[in-house]
Amino acid sequence: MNDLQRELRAAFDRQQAELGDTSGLRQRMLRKAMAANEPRRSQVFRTAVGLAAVLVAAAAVGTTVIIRELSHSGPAVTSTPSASPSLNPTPSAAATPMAQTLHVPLTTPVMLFHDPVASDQIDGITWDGTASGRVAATGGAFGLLPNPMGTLYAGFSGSGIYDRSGQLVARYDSGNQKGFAGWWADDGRHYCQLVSASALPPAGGEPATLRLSAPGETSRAVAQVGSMGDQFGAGVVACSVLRDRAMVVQWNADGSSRQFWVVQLSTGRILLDSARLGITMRQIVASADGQYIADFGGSQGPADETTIYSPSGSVLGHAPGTVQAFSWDGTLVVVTGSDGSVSVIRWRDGIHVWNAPHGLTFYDALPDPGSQQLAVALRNTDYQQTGGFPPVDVYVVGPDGQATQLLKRVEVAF
Amino acid sequence: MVSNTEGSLRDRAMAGDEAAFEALAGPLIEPGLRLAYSMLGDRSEAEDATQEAVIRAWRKLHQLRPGTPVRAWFFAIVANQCRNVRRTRWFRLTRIEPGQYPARPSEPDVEHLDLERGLARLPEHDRQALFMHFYLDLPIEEVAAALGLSPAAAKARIYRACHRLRPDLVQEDAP
Repeated sequence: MNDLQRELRAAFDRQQAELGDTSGLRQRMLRKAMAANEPRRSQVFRTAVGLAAVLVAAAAVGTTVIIRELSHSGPAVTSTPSASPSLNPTPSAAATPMAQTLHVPLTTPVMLFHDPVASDQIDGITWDGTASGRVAATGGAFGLLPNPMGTLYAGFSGSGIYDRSGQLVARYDSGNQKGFAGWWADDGRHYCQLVSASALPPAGGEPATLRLSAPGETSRAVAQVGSMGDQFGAGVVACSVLRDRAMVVQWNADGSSRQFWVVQLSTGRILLDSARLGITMRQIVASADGQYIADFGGSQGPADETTIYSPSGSVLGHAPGTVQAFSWDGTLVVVTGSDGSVSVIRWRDGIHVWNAPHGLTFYDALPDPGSQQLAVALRNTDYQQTGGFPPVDVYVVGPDGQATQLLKRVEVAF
Repeated sequence: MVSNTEGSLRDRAMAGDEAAFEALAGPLIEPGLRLAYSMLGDRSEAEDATQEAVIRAWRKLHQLRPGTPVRAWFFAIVANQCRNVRRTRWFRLTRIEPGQYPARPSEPDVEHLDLERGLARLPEHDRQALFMHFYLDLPIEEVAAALGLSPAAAKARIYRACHRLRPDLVQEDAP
């Protein structure tokens, strides 16, 4: 690589030599910029200074409140959702990363997130907000993929699986370096991933293989399914060791879904191939156990609805808008409307359980393992992204529509 | 990561201190011009794009997110400006194939030619990432910020581009 770096630099040097003399440009351009802006300057600066003060204050307040709230031993945030969640800011001299470690049994489900001050640090909080703390001091900068319980997580760099004390416990197959094509199984131990022969697959694609890994076990190939290409790929959207199946989706270059397969984990047998059913897919998500498969805008329903299938391919129902995620038991779904609205509904009867505060948009959702609760992460346009991941608010929504704002302005890891 | 000095300069520049803006943006103008030239292949167009970027930076400094390095932000403005130029009908009618470099006055050796042909064949966004990382020496995080990508995506893009140029690179050599 060093040779290539030198060659690239030399090539760029040769190209840039054509540019010629650049002396004097800096002053000329700066003077022109100042002159161009002269008539508006006083007004712009007043606005800018005021806005900057607000932004700086807001950033400081947001961070401070989170740190304070996460440092409490009691619930992190217990406010019910409102159109504009309010804060009681208390200025802090200097924000610091969360220092105390997370003290809960290793089996207690938690949500993982990037520390609001140090993005590389991974923090965790219980679903009821009663405990929070640092999980690992480093390893979060390039992203991580926790299992549903937050007891293990896959790190992007190094293909490692870590436990909640930040210790490396296994490595998943790193045959494909394109990113997280993996998916945690519903037992929280196994990690399903599609890999292909080349780290950078050819334009025309090459076959992909579904692999299953777990701490203490040898990674094994389950089946050859889907293909990986330069501008397209395939991935796992559900993996259920408990129900012995995985859902694999083939994506087009634009990210839309083209085809899906249901694969039996124990035998590698393809239980269902959507192409053989003549179904045209568009945007697929599945419940954790693969019992329900949702496809938005596909051939089996109106363009603005989501069709919900069984793993055998039969249509079970429809949901308005785009289904983004299922609750753990599959009864509730998070849906987004064409106007950007976010709701939780019971898809069997279409009853709206919860509507997100107006103006917040969907980022991601996480089902609470073993319950009907869902964590819904929402983006707020008032929050400026300063790190690698957008800051979001997290609401925990129950089947009765009760919602708690658990986290505010954090970069979640799900 | 934004240094205290940069943060202080930015605050002063936002308050109307021209000297602070000069100290902040001045050193970025030439590399910005080089980035524009690498994208447009024409000095005059590159100067115009860079000039517009400087004006925008001066006007929009208050929109810079706290914590975002000014350098990455400025290069993002330059790159956007260049993309706008490339989209114009005039540019498309008068330019050679997008991404193709200007004719060379003297013939380079075959190896150089191969690499330059390889560079010319790369998608524009891949070439930008390589230019920022290997020529302007931007760290991955700043390349990511300038291109509106996650650091992981920027890293993958650079690696992918390198691999296209030299398919025999081994995986462990990724940047």
